[in-house]
Amino acid sequence: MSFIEDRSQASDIEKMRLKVKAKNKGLWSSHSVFFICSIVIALWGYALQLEANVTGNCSNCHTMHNSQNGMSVAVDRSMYGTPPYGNLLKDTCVGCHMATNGATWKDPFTGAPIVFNTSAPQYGASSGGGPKQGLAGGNFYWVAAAGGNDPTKGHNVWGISGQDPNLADAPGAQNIHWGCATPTCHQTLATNPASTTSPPNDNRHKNGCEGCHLYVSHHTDSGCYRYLCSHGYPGDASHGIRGAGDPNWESNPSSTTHNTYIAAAGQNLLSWGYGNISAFCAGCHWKFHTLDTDPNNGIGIGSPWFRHPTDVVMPASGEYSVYTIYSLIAPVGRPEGNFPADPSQVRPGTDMATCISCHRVHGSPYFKMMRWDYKSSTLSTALSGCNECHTSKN
Amino acid sequence: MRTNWNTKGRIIFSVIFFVLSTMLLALCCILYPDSVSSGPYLNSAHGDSNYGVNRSATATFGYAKGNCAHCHEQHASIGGSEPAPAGGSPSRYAIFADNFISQTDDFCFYCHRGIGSVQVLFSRTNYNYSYWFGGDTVNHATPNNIYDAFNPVLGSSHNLQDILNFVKTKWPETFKDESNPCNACHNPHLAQRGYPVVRPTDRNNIWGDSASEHMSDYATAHGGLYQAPYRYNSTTTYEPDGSGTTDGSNVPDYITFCSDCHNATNVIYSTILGRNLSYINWANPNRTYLQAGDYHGSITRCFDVDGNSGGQWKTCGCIKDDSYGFASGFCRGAPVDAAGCCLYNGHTVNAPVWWGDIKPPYKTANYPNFILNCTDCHEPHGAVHGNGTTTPYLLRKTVNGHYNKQCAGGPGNPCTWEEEFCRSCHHHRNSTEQTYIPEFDRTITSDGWHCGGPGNCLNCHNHNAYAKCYACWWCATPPIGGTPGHTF
Repeated sequence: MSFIEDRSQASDIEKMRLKVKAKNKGLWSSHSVFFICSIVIALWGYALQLEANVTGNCSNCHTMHNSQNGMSVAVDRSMYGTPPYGNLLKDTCVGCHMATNGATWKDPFTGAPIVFNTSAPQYGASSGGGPKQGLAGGNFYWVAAAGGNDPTKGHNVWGISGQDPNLADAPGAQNIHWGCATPTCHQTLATNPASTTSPPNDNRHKNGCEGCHLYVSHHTDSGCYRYLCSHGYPGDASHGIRGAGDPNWESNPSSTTHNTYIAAAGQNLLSWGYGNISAFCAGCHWKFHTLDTDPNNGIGIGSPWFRHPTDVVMPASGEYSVYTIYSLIAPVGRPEGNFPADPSQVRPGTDMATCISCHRVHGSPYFKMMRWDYKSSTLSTALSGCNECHTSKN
Repeated sequence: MRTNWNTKGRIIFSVIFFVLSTMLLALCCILYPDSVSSGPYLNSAHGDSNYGVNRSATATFGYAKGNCAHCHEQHASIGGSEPAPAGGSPSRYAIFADNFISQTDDFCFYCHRGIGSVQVLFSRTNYNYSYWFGGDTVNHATPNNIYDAFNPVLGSSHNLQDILNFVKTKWPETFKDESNPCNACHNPHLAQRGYPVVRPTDRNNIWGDSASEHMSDYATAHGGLYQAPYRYNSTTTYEPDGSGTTDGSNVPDYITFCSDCHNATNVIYSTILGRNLSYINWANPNRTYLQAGDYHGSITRCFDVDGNSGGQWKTCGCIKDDSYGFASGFCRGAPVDAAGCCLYNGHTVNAPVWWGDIKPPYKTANYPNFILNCTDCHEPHGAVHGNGTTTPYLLRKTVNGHYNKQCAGGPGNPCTWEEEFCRSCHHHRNSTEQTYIPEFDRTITSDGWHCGGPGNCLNCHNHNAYAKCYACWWCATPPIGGTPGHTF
C-alpha cells in the first residue's frame, strides 16, 4: 500500500468531500476573521468609549421651520437670543442637557446626559453620605439660581449662572490669555457665546458650554472624549481628551463602574496629543498644572511641589502605597494604553492624580467644586478626600 | 434568690441591649465625629478639631480647625487670591510661606510666635519645658512662644541652620535643602501635645508614646534607674506631670531621641560656639579614663549620695572645736569617739553635706546608678536670658523644682549662673550650709573653689569630660592619686 495519495485516482465522492471541506475551510476562515475583528473592535470601542453620535429622530433636536400648527417649536432661551437656533436646533446646549427635576440623568427623548438639574440631583456619587453629585462631571445645580446661586460651587457658564463675582479671571490663568482678546473662554465662560465681535463666534473662541466642549459634532464622533477637543481640531482629533466612559456616565457609579480619564506623566505643558484631562484644564488654569521651575508660573518640576501636582505618578511607597482600591471621592487618572484589567484597582507607581481627582468640573455641592466637603466643620469629613491618597494624614 | 432567664427574657434583654448599645454608639458618632475615624493626623495637635491649626485668613473662608488649608494652599491661592500672609512666590510643599530662611524666618514661626501670629488663638501657650513639665508657672511667663524660645536675648538655643546643615548631610534621603529644620525633631502631621517629637531616623512614628520608649526603659536597659526631678516648689510631686511617679515610665526617653544627633560619633558644628559640639555618650557604663561616658548617663557613680566614696555622715556632739568644725553637728564616717567627736580629722559641719553631694529626691532614692533624661537639665528649644543671667547650652532655669536666680554676690553666695544651676541637685557653697571638700580636706562656707576656679563648674563638669582635673582622681583606681577620670 502506497502512502502517497494520488488525487487523480480519488473517487468522485472523495473529490466532492474534499471540495466541501475546502469550501467549509474558507467559510470558517472568513468567519474567524470577522469574529476576531468584531472582538477587536468591541474591545477597542469599550476601551476608548468614543463619543457615541446621537441617534433617533431628527425632530428630537431639529425643527425645519420652527413652526408646528402655527406655534413656535424651539424653546425660547432668551439669554441666547431669539429661537430658532443655529443648525435648526430646537434648543440650546443647556436646554437639551438640563432637567426640571432632580431624578433625570438622561433625557428620555434625546438620550442626552443631564448636567443641570433644577432640583438637587438624586443620582450619581456622593461623599460620605452627602448629597448626590450628578453625573461624572458633576452638576450645575448648585451654581445656578435653583441651587443657591453659589459661584464657588461650579463653573459659571453662560445660560446657567452669571459671571463669578469673586473671580476676575480663571484662577491660575496665564496673564496673556493665550493671545486671545479678552474676555475669552480662558478668562470666563459666562460671557455671551453669540458675540461675534470679541471674541469671534467660532469654534475656537466660543464661551459658555462650548468654551470647553469644542466642535460638538453630535452626528459623528469627534474623536474627542466628551467633545473636549482642542483648537487643533478639526484636522487633528488626537489633540483632544481621551478616556473610557461609563455607559451611564456615572449615574450610579461604583469602584468597578466609572469613567476613566487619561493622565500623562510628565506631560504637564500644554502639549496637546496626550489625551490628558488635566492639560485641558490647564488651558485656563495653566499654573495649576504646568511643570515649571518658576513658582509663579507652575507647580514646580519635582517634589516638593509648589502646587499640588497633577499628571505626576503617585509614589508606590509610603502612605500612597495603601491607595489600591479606586475611590469615587478622589479617583485617579490612568496612563493611556495602561488601564488595569480590574477597573477597581489603583496602582501606586503608575496611576496619577488629575484635576478631576478633586473637582467636579461642572459643579458640586461643595466649595470650589470639590468632590467632597473640604470645608466641612467635621474635620474627618473635610479631609476624607485628601486621605484617599494621603492615607497617613487621617 | 437566684433568677434564671427564660428564652423570652433572654431575647428581650438581648434586643434591648443591642438597641441601647447601638444608640450609644450612634450618639458617640454624633458627638465626636472626628474620633470615629481619627488617624494619626486627627490625633495630632495640629489636626485636633478643637485646638488644631487655624490660620486666621483661612478660618475666614470657613475651613475647620486642623484643615490642611491652614498650612497648605494646593494651588497657592484660594478663591483666586492669596490669603494672608500674602506676598512672595508659591512655596514648596504648597505651604503658604517659605519653609525655612533663617533663625527668625521659619514657616512654623508664622503661627508659633507672639505678636503677628497668624493662628487665630492658641488654646495652650507654648511656654517652655520648665513651665509645662517642670511646673514652674511662676518664673517662666516668657518665652511664651516658640519664636522667642529660638531667639532669646542673651540666652542660648538650637541653631536652626546648624540643624539643617547637619541633618541634610547625615540623612540626605530624608532632609533636603528645602526642608524645615524643625522637622528634624517634629512631624507636624503627627506631633501631639504630650508627645511632640519623632526621631529624625523614624519620622513617621511618634517617639515616646509607646512601650519601650520611656525613660524607665532606657535606664533599665542601661543598668541604671531613673529618678524624676521635683516639680517646681514641691517635694512631693515630680516631673513631667506633677504626679507621684518617679521611675520615668511617664516621660519619653529623650536620651534615645536626642542621641540620633548628639551621640559619641556625630560631628555637629555649632555656629554660636564656633566649634564642634562635645560628643555625648550616655550609654557607655565604663568609667575608664579616656573612654567616653558620663556619670549622669550610664556610668555607675563612685561617690555615695553624700559625695564621698565611702562612709556615712554621723551625727555627733563633740566638745572639741577647731577652726573649721562645729561643736556639734555631723561628721563623716564612723565611728565617733567617746567624746562624740568624729574620728576623721575631727571635723564636723552643721549639715551632713559634702561638696558635690546630691540633694533629694536623688539622695533619698539613693540609686547606685542614676541615669538622667536630657530634659531634666536642658530646654529643647532654647533657654532664655532671665533674671539677669545668661543661660548657655540650653540649660533650664528651673531644675529639680529649683529656680536659679541671679546670684547676689558676696561671701556665701554663688555668683555664677552655673553654680546656681548645679546647686539644683548638688550641694555647693552657699551662705547657709558648709560643705566639705575632700580633696582639700576642709570645709567651705563661701567663696570656695577648687581646680576649675570659682564658680565655673562647666569648665570641668561637662559632657564627655573623661580627662579632667584633680577631682576625678577620686574614682580612679586606686582611689586618690590615680589617673584622672570622669567629671560628669
